[in-house]
Amino acid sequence: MSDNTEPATRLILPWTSTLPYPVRNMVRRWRGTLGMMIGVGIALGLGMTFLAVNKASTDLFTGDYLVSGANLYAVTEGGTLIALLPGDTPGTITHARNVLSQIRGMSDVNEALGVFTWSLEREQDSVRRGFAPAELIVTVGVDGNPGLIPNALLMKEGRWVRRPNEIVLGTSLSREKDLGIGDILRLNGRDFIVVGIGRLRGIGYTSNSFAYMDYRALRQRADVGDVVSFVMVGARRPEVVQPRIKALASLEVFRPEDLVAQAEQANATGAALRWIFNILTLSIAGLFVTNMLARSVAERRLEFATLRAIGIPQRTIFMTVGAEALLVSVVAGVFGVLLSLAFGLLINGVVAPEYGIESLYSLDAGLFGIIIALALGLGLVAGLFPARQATRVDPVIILREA
Amino acid sequence: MLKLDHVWRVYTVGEEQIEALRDVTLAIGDGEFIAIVGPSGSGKSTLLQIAGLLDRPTQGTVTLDGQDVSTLDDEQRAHLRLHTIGFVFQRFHLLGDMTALENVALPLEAAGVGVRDRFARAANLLETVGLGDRLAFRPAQLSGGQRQRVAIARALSNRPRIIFADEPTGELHSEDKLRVVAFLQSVHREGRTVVVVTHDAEVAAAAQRHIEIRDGRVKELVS
Repeated sequence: MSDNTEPATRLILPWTSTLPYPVRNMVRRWRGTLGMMIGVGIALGLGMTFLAVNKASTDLFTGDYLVSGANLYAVTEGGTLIALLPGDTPGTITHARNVLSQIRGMSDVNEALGVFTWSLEREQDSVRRGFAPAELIVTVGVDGNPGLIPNALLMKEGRWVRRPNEIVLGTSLSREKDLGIGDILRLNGRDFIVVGIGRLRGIGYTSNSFAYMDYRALRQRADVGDVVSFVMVGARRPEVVQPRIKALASLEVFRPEDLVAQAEQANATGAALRWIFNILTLSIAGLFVTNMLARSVAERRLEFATLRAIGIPQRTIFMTVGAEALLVSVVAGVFGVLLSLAFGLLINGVVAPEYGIESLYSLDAGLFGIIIALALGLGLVAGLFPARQATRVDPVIILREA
Repeated sequence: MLKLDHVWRVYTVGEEQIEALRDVTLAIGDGEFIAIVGPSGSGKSTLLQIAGLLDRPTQGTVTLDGQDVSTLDDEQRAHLRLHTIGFVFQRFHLLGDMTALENVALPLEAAGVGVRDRFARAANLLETVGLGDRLAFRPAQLSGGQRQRVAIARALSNRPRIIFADEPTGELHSEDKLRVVAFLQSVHREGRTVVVVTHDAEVAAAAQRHIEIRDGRVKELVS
């Protein structure tokens, strides 16, 4: 019975031969774990999608402020720039011309835009019936040159207003009212010519539904005093400018990060609920993996009994089942990410445009990483019980029964 | 030298106590070929499992080279089974989703033998048992006799000192049976200890020493 290590024939081994037994077993049995991978992957995909939608809903309120190029926002004391809760309003800054000229006069300030929002009534050539409601257009009057603040303007077509009789329409408004460049829009008794389709960033998530005109023209139409809703400031050194503006009058001055923090705080309950949902989903997925692996171990008792009988160490058997749990978790994690990205494409491509919103799904690699890490951890925990079960198979009993 | 000293094995089934082994004392010397015979249910397999460190005695001691192995923990006993003992089972117990070569190489992998050496050694063992052309076959693609030869090759892979075979020919036809007996004799000739549990007179005849077991008690037969 020679077992000389020189083989009589040259062996051609499959690539898996070089892998340790637990890994080889995992590769060989991947089909058997496919159902678990898909089930857990769907759970993870849903969880990730919920988080991405949650992120997008926060971004919806705040994302525009981060990219607008303005790094300070001033409102009157007690005002709230982002209306998250009922009753939230920025209030009005009085003596606006004076405030704006003082801010513009500060060193390190590139530009300060006074922003004022008012509803104007649209008038059409056709005679309006007595019972028909007035058609109101939310109009934003802008004092200053947004072109001096990088990224403050997002123009789809045409240009920004230069004259008092010009108007820019948000993309949703333009689509909804079927108005394009060159069309005339009559508001509160005056004709305005549409010169651009686009919007000013950093004035709220519905800014695509607004019309934009020169501040003085709006004041004239709205018949209001020297007030603005808030001031957007593009500053070179915001940390230096912020306290100076605050000291000017009774103003609150926010940086974009403060606005994000406020929005996240207001959204915290929703976020917490989504995390609870995710943890529950992951726990159920973990129980599912435990149950399926335990069944698999029960079905393979003879295999484990044989391994024990021929002297294979318990840790190898433990790793064999543990590796299967790990494989399920890793593949389910990748599947979950792909599924969530597919949901994201669908949500942003089909659902978001229906509501006139750019994005309802915002990918966050960090959150996805946390979910995958949790899934891996949970997979390992889920594999513990079946793995221990496999090491405790009694070869004497099982081999006798076989 | 493997010694069983006043070994009892009692199973509890419900409220009933079944004495599978009763006060068995037995010494198995190095290089012996022993056949354990006896009727079904007499305790042959239980004796083999206790001597082969698969099971523990309810009472009494088992010593291997003077060391009491009945008190070792599961991992220490598995280590001894891997390196010192080879098992051949009546129903082969090969791993169905592995090839013949992988089945034989598995104990070598557990013993830490490198990839090339382990597969070379496994291939040579399979060639020795006449299965050099069946290396990549899975157990389901082999006949009963061929499977048992793979099992013998697996039992020999870590060059164990003792081979325990539990009814190794119980599921085989006469030609395969003779072949398996010849392999066991060949293993014995190389200086290894072979202990076979069998019902079969032809298999028992190949052994030097015969031990009969009846109702859990051992009786040495004159060879």
